[in-house]
Amino acid sequence: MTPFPERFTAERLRFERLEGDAVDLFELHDICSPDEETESITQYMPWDPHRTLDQTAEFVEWCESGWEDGEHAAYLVRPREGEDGAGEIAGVTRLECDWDRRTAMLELWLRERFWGRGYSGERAGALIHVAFEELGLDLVSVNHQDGNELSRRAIEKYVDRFGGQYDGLLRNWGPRPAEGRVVDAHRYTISREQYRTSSADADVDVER
Amino acid sequence: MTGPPLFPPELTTDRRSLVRLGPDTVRPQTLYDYRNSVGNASADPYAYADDAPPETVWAASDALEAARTRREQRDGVEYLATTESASEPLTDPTAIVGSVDLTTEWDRRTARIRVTVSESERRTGLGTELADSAISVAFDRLGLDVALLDHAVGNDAGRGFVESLVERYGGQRDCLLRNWRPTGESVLDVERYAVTAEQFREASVE
Repeated sequence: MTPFPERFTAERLRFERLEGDAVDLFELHDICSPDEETESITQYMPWDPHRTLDQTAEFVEWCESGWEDGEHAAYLVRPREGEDGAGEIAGVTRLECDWDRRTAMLELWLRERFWGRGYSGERAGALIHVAFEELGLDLVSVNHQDGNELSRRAIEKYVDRFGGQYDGLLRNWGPRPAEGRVVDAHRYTISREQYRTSSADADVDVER
Repeated sequence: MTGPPLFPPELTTDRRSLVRLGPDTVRPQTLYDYRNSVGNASADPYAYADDAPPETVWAASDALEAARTRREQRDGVEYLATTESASEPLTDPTAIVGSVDLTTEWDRRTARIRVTVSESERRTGLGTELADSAISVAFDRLGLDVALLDHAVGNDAGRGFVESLVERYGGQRDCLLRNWRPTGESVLDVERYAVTAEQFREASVE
């Protein structure tokens, strides 16, 4: 049994474990398949749009095995009632655990129509709460690809809110084999101590 | 199947021969004695290895086999600097005066370099010679683009050594890596430095 919570909510968002039983594979594939919106999502992400249903199924299986192995927890992000697009899949977020380093790394992609609502920061607050209060980890890290200004602004905002810091450049960090290059990334971290002294309220409700 | 030899079997610096660590070059008892004389490398200001010394000669034998497998799988290589000339396998642990480790991250086109120097050889320039050799292999032979060096936060001697290397090669400090190096009881923060192939060539290190 892994220590990850199956479901939790933030003020405007609901998080559900990404697994075969919880997701409509065809809906997820539609979201991940190549089109203008997906290209804009994946431009700075380490994955390419899914050209086949099989790729989406493989992604779901990868999320399931990561969950079972305790290596990473992937969640569907859905706006709660009262939000525009309530109940739809707004994106996927992951919390990748490096237990030896007592560190969780955050990752997120959101569909373009859900950008600009502050969901990234709200989701970060929820996952940071899970990492420190549910999983007992000591550090949360987040990276963005060099040049991804939208992510940089969103990350800087919530890292600052939770008392964290910019740590520096990760040179040649992200292999992009399809493009024949390796991209640089920027790393930010928030320690549990910084989080607790920041007095920022993440407003998270974990279902037991 | 071992494929073509990616890592040279031997290297030389100005003053030392470097032998590639493996069961063909070092006796288990020799490695056991050497590693235990150095102690826990993670506590050594000139060392960048995480591994604790082998507890038994058997464990040292396993470490030598693991070194061969790692090399054959092209994941990395370690060289020992010796005062002996080509008497293989090495039998005298006191003849080993340092080591340099090169880990390949092919998908990132990156090499991670770690240097250890015995107490008797510190401030002699041996550490720089070892780093020069490994970085030359990374760039000139393996065709990688970036070499990484690091030191634990608070390790002032290690910082001084790495900073002098990075200055020599025209590189720079890139990043603080918090909670990066697990040591058993705690997880150390690490400062990461990088040298690109271009910087190294422009620095014209011989």
